[in-house]
Amino acid sequence: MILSRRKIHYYASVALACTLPILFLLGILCRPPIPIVDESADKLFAIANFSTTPLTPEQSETLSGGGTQIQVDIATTANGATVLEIQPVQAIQFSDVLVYWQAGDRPTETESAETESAETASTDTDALIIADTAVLLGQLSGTSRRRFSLPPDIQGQDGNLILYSRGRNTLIVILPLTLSAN
Amino acid sequence: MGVGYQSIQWNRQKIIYDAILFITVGLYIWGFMAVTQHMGSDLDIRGVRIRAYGSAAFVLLHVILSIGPLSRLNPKFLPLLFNRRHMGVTMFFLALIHVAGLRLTMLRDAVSVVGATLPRFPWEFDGALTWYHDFGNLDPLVSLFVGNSHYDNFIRFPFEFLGVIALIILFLMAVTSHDFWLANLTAPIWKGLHMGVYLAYGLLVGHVVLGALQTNRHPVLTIAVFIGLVWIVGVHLIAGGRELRRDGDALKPTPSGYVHVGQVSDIPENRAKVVTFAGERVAIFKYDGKISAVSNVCQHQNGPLGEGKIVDGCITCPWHGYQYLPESGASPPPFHEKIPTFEVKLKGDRILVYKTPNPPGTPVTPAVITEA
Repeated sequence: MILSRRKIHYYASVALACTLPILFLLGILCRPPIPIVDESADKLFAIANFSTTPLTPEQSETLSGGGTQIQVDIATTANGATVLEIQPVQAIQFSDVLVYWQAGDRPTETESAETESAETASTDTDALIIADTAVLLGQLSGTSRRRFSLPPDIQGQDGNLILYSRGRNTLIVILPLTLSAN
Repeated sequence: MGVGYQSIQWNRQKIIYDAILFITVGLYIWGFMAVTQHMGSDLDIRGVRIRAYGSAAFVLLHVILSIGPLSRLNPKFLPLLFNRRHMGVTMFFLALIHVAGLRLTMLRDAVSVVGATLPRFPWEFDGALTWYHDFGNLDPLVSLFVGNSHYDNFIRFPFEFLGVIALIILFLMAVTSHDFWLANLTAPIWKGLHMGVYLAYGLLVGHVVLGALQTNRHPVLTIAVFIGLVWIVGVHLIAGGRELRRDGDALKPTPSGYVHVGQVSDIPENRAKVVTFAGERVAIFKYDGKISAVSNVCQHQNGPLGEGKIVDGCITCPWHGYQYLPESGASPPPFHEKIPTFEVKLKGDRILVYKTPNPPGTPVTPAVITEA
């Protein structure tokens, strides 16, 4: 190196020697505490529809379509409520996945639209839209098993489960399902 | 050297160097994944993959930054310097994969033709940008900069921002690493640009300390980062300080304009003595019963010619083997690099070099050593 570059190199080394240890020590000493998850978080998981206690399913089937595969169980809780449990077999690669139930035949584009972005839906759901009568059950994420309460008026009906990404305004898949009566 | 353009002048040493480099990086990433998966089954495996590449780049940066000062302290490390740029470009790509992920679907498809199946990793996986910023309704790049807006808070500062600045510096270095840019920018400017690596290193230490070390609190990781920091800063301070002290011992010319640089017996045959005067280092070579003085600065990457030796009658740079004729400072034909020469004369055993350099490539009659 030439003399001027050797000087720059040395002063750069001095600057790093002065700043980096301080940065390192401050970074370690000021680390904020990370709360540990304990039983108090169970309520939050329940609100978020996570299935925490196993139930014996009365109806169980695996639904697949549009590259998505989910395990669907219908069971009764200790207090007599009928619930639907859904667990994706593989993580669903969409954000903010909402689960709708819509009674009747497979929805068509003639039904009223909730969103204008239905045109961006995946392959077999192109041009399909969510009807105003669809019931929002809750949300899914990753491969977590989620539990959704089934309103009595939709139990025993034929219809379709609709997975919809709120984050991407995209219909992910529509899967036919009959909700057995309690 | 400057003849017949070839994008990369491959030779056996470079191929071996690169093969060792790629195998080592591959083993590191594989080992990182194997060890972390062995240590815990509940890990976010995608995050581990991202950190495998990120840590590979960070470790490789430590290796790269160690080579220069170690070569100054001990010539045994010079062979590592020879192809350091390939290491730097590899490091940039590891950092880029850490950020942007990898999609080598063509490779997987090609293998599947013969009935084999490649695992998704390491051929396909999401980088940090995709995995942490591409599941919302914001563009990932926008999310990267606004996802954490604590720009006024030290400990919650968006460490990703530090990584982005460092990646831009590393990108500029990678794209200008080729000799084409070295020749067109000139070595001093090129060197100045590539000194940005020290800023990039500082930013990346911040990226790791405010990022990975905040959530991963295993003491081994903390200690490893600290040792790496102390090592890099320490070895650069030692080597840089030693060089600056040498420059401080500049020789003064006599009233006649000549500088007494030492005795003939000080210099081993086919080697040089390096002294500082006239604002730069000068290499005085002894060879075939003659003494010649040239600038110590190689035209290629400003390597220290005086730490090289005479090979086949030419001064040979220890960094990349560039050669110059000692009598003229010019590279032997067909090459055309030139360095400044100095007038030399002997008074008994004393070597006197004129204080002002001649223009690069100026032929100078060597001082002939006469036996006493």
